[in-house]
Amino acid sequence: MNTDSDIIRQSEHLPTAFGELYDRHASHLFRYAAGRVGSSAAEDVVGDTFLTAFERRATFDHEWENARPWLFGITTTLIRKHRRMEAQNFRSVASATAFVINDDRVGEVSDRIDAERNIRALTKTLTRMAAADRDTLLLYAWGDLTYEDIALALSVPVGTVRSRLNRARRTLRASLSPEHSAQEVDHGRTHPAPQNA
Amino acid sequence: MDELTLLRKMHDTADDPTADQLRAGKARLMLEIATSGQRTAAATSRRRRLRRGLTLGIAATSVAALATVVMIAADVVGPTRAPDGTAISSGASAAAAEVLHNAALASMKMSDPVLTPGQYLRIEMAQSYLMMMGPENTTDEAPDINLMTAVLQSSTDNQYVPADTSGEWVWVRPPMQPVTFFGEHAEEDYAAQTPSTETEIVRGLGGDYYAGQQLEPDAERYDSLAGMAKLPRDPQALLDHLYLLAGDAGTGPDAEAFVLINDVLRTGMAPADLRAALFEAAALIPGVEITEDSATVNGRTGVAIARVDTTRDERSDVIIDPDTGMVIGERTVSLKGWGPIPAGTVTGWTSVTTTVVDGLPPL
Repeated sequence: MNTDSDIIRQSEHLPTAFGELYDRHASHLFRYAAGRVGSSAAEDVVGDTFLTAFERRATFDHEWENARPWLFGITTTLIRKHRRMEAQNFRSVASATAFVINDDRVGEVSDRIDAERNIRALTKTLTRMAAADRDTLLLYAWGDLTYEDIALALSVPVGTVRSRLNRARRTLRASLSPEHSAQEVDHGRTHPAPQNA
Repeated sequence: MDELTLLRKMHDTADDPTADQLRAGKARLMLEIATSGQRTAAATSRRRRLRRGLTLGIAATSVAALATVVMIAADVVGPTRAPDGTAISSGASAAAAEVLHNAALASMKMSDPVLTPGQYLRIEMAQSYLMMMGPENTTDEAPDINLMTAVLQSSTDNQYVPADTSGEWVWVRPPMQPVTFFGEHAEEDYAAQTPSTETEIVRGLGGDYYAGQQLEPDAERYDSLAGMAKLPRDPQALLDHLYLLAGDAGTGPDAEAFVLINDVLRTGMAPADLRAALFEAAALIPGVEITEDSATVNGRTGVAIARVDTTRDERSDVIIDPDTGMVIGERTVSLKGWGPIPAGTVTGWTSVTTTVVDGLPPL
């Protein structure tokens, strides 16, 4: 099995080999980008990500076998050009998410209303927080990258990732209603099942 | 739910890419790769305009939801069958240099047209592009480039440049017509498209047709009128300047410089003294050779000259009329072939003629 690093090396002589990277990573990048700027802009962002990556493949650091953090870094940079669209998208995602939560038929009515209020507060805060914090948080929560991966994607030390993530989570928590903000449920990478109580 | 759980919940509503979206992205990448041989960092201004066409092409297809369409940003064309790379090469750089010297001399003898108020310089550009097509794919898999088909399309557009070049330029762009099909089902795939049938008329002050949409101002582009005015007329100084412009773009300074020269000549707007300097500069570039003694573009025949590098996927020829020293056009030849395109295919061409006209045609 070729590593991404092998593929990029190979593409220096055989450029078409680079297409394999698309097959491996495009879907993940798309979903992350779609979460941030919506499906239609995500198509452009992901397309541009790979054109940029191909153009800059000589700069890839072969110390890393997996190109995913590098690609996520390019995508994140490209997303920054779509700030307004991201804000709009967050608003519509908030509505959609509130709908989904309601549709879960989980918990008391008051809980659901609370969840809906929280999701709107969350997206508002997300829109307003520092871009670097937002990038870090969303690479973690939506991109499923590790601290080390994020450090690589954003070209910052791991310590910086940790502090940005802490700050971002603290900011988000502060925007939620007290009952929710008191909980520190998980730091894991899976999507936990809806809570029943 | 804590904030992270809520955040992830929010992401549950994010869309996965559709098969169409994945296919379009992959096709874009593979075409970029396929044409990267001739692409240069310096040639971006031209690509930027063309990419607009590319975006529109994809959008039109998404609406039709029929097939993937991508315009290849290689605006070069020619006969449907071209010589295979360097095989028919009939001369070394000395022969190419002679053609280029003669072209430079001929250019020096020509005077640039002088326009009186109300007149326009009409730049007629006949061109062919390759359009990539693919059958509708109902699976989630990315398309196999070998299953794709292509069609070489051509059209002739006209730019009208006013006597006062800061005035309004007009660009009449008729729709593309299919010329040659590549791949077994190419004609079917083409029939499934809904190609634009409208003639686009674009206007722009000082030739800035897409004001605000370009990443760099017109005047900073080497192939704009303002940019050309600033290029050195001494061949060596010009070449040094082009090397500088090319920077460390991947294909090497010599290949880059040749592409830049081609870019400027293609505009049809380079004044005679600049054309002469460009020819002499090209004669100084190592690896520049005659690739075909009699190459025909748009019905006119001339000598094809290119910087030959057999490791590349494509070669860009400039075609010069050896008698008059005028540029007939340029073309791109696929050296290695890809997908439905056999090696040696001319994948694009442009041919430019300029005339002075007394006014705009009825539009």
